[in-house]
Amino acid sequence: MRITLLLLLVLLLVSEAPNSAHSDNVGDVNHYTVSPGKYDLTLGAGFPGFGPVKLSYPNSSILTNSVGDLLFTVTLNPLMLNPVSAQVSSSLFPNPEVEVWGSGFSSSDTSCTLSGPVVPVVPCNISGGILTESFNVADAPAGVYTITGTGSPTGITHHPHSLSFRRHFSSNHLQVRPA
Amino acid sequence: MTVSVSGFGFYSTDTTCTLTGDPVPTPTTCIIAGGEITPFTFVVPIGTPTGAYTIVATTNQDDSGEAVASFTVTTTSSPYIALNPSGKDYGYVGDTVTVSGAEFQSADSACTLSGSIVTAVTPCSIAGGVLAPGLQFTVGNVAPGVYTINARGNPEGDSARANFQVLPPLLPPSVPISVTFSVGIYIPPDFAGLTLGNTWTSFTNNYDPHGFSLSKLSSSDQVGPDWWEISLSNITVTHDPSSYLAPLVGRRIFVVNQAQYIRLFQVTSPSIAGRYFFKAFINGKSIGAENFPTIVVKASRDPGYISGVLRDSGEHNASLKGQPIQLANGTGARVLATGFDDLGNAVSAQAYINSTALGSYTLFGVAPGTYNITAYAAGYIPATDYVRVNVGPAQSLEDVDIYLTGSVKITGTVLSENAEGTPIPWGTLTGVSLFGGSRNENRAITVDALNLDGSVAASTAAPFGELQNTDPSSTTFNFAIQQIGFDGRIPQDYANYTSGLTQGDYLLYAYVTSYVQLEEVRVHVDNETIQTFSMIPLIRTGTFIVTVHFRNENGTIGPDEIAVPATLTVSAYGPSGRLSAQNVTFVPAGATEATVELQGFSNTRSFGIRSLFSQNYGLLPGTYQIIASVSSSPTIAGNANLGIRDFYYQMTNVYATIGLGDAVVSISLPVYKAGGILLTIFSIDDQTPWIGGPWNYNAKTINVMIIGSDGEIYRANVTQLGGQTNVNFAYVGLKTDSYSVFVQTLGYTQSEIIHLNVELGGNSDAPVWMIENPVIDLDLAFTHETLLSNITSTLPFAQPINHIDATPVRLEVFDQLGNFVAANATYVPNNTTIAHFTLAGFDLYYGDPRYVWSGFYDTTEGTSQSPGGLVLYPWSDLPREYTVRIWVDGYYQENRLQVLVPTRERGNVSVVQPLDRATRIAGNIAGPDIFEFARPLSWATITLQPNDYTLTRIIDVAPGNYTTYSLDGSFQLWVPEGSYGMGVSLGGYSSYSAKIEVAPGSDINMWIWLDNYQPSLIANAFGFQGDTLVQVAGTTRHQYDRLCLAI
Repeated sequence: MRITLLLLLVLLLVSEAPNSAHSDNVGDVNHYTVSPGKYDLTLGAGFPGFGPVKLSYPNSSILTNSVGDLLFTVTLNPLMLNPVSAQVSSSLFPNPEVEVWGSGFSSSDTSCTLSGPVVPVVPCNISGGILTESFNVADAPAGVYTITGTGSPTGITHHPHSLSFRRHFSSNHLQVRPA
Repeated sequence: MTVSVSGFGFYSTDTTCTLTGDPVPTPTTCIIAGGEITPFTFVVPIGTPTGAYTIVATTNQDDSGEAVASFTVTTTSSPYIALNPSGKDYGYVGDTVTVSGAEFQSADSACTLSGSIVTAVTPCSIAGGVLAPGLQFTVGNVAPGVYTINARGNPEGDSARANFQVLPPLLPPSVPISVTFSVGIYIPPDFAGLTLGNTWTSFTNNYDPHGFSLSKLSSSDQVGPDWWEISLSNITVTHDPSSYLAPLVGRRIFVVNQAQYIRLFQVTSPSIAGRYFFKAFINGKSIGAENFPTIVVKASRDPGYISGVLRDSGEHNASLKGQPIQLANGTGARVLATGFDDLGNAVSAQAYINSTALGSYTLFGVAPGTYNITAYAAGYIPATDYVRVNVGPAQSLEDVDIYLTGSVKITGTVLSENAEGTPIPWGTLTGVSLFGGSRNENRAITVDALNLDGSVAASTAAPFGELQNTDPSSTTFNFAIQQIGFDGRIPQDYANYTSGLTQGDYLLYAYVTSYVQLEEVRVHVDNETIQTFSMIPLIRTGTFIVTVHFRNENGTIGPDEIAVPATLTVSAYGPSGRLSAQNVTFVPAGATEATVELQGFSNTRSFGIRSLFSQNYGLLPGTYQIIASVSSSPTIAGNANLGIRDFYYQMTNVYATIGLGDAVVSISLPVYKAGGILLTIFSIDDQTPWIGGPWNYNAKTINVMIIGSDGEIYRANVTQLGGQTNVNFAYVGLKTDSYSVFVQTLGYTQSEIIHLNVELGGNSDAPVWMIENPVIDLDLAFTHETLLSNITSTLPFAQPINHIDATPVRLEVFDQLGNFVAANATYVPNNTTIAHFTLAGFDLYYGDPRYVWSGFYDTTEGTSQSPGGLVLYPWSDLPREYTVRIWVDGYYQENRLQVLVPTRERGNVSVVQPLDRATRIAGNIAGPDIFEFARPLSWATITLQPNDYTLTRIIDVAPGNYTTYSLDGSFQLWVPEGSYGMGVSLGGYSSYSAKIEVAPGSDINMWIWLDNYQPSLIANAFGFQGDTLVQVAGTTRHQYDRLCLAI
């Protein structure tokens, strides 16, 4: 039996950035204070979504001045030479990224899906009744959106608010781009 | 939401009415017949806030009052649909596409699906605003392209749309489709430690630089100035692998849509935090900047970020004050935060934006600390305001806006003048030589602003594209310079400028072919300067016309008809030996002379197209040495094509003086036909007297190296001819001199070095004896726990290569003096138990030394090895004992293979060497973030240190080779059986160490949790044997199904 559970609303604010810095002009120096609570460690899950060349570990960041390996995957297909699927562009602005973390799913769930108007098709991880996923918001009008998490197969009833969401960055104040 | 409008009770004479309300209905007029409004509907716009609304109808025929009605909007949401054919929103004609959707009006119960590609639609219904599951359609027979599918809810009439891309049809699988690709991956210069020896790919194990290379790009590269580039070429991808003989990978043939890998080992990350991206080009075209892989480099374990907008200060235009900066199309900006963390360590972060970002930036990976932020933008003065910001762990700071002022614009006019200072038109550049003719061109012009140390600060030269040209009829050229900071880190395909000019003094220089600038033009820029204007006078200079006469031999007077088409290059070198002018012309066969004009040259330009046809300065007054050279590609019957060779030589020094003005200086000089060497190269055995025999390695390259007394080396090659006992070789293009001749080819050693004297215009001939060398016939027996077992690249333990149809193998042979004398890089087809190889020397082999990473990945630094045989010194009587080293991914060689071959006798040696499968240790490493959520960790260091007992079982692999780094939490390495000390570490987390026992040929999976850094904590490891949890410690050897660590 599949049970679809509700979700939380992701507030996509257009004009106001929460936790905005406050500045006090003191001579030529601006002093800013901030409140904690934001985080940007995971970036790029599901990004890029269509590229034939990818870095193999988009879900975690690395430290400055550290040593490690860079691993690229290259997936070639003659179709990529076709103009219809040409992907030449001149900008790089991924849409805002949202992390989904949910508990209370069945421990027997082995797969899951996320759905909603701003959710691209992304892999969904579920293990031990914990759902974890992050994705870049798909192109959509600014607004309030509902996201649904579904565990499969499952036999345990979930209670509301078992999914939480967190914004990771807001380079454009989380205003989703017009479709 | 659809609202129905109707009404009654109006006068019978009323015919029309007007509707008003909020929202205003469309249409706003209505029809009245018989006292009733003819019913119609209107749609409430999506996004209308919830609440009660009214509409009012007023007739315009009789004053019967107003009719008022109301309706209620209960939701502001908009319906949507999603398309899901196999997880994608693209596909092919005939695909079945599943449609889901929600947020339709609650009153909707039915729906219709439409679109030009929609066929065979299943019934569509809506319940509770959600499309009923199972709605599908089939993609109709349409041309490739993007199509819109529309879902309309009924009766409310609300609708949602989605796009579906129809891809070009695939040809039937029976029809082979093969496409050859080249792949270029660009890595920012902030990453360090990249070498070819640290670079591995599953595409090939051949490090021929023509097909696989790692290079540091020039500072003027259009895509990545000063970046690294990994280049792979000649990669064939096919839909039909069955049409090729296996193994495919040895010929770089791969199946479509199967991922291959490029791995760079032990790279050092940038010292500046930020989000970095890697550019990728396939067949010379970008994959799209939005598809470029990215990674965040953070300066602390729990970083924050800083974001804001770069805004115009309005100092030059008050109307722009506070507006986001306006970058010229293609240019960019850089934001740099520098500061100190709580411990006083210097920390920094940077971000680049392009012209579409509207000034918005985000600094990622910012360590907790205090920062000053400086912004650079093309066309703006770098903002040096002190914007001091404080960031704590995992804090985020937004709205840090920085105000920039437009930078100074250095403008001016370049004047075309003669020696007397009279303005003259630029005219065209005549006599630009081309192969097969000549043409006239407009003169290209470049104006550079130099720093006082002579370096180029800014230039009119575009980062890419054509140069600017002068108008032939004009006597002036106006210029403007404003941008600096050519950088590839702007998030887009190509590099561009990222800053404006700063205050300081600049020297202006203009470059035009056949013009010189005699006066220094200096401009001063301070913070108040908006624009400068300068005049740069250029003086037209003269031309050397050089006529070159072809002669047969030194001292002859009569002309010589050149035998084959050739290229004449004439150069002028200034007093300091600097190349000051050069030009090239084509010489047809039969010519006895050729003429070239010299008007100037340039090696000062940093950008743009640089060639002989874009020379951009003239010859300063003075004396020059004139040097002519002739080259050609002669073919001599019965011999190999010899490539481009100097065909005639200039034997005397020629000097000429030129002054100001456009006078012409004519020069005439002779060149003399070169001499040559003719060789007959024999294949012989090692007996005395020798006996000739056919060449053993048909079509393999024979390299011939001719060295003059001055050390100059001339190279050419022919090939072994199967079935024949000798090969003829000819080389022309030699000066009078004594030469030594060296010949190298696979499986042979030259019996003795040949010495020959050559005279101009004459040929010298000699035989060369190539002695057959012994070979090593090697059989590799693949085993698993010492039992014979098929090798396959498809098993989990061979994960990095299991998308190829064979396993890479590298064999190396060293003589008793340690000389590297033979090698073979090839592949073993899947399901092979015993593979046979012949080691005879080198032939097109690249690599020495070879590296092994993580006990699996086999790389070389790509050094080209000269062809040859096993025997380096045929005149030596040293015993022939060789050491053979074998590298097969996922296997290890337990013992050194020593091979003794007969001395100076033809004969082969057959040996058998078993290779046992290594153990794979794989696993996942995770740790908590500041919110105590589990995070996969990248670049954690995992090291296995063999103990003394294990070391005796490992040859030629330094312990450090058993080090790897986690990637998104996962890691794997390969080791022989034995006992190891294992260590795991990552900055900001507690490290782990334990002793593990590795059984032969096993496959171990581990899960490791690194907790927050606590110096006093001790980590322990546990392994599962079946369902039993066992602590990993001591010297007991076990095979574990799963290992985990507890801290």
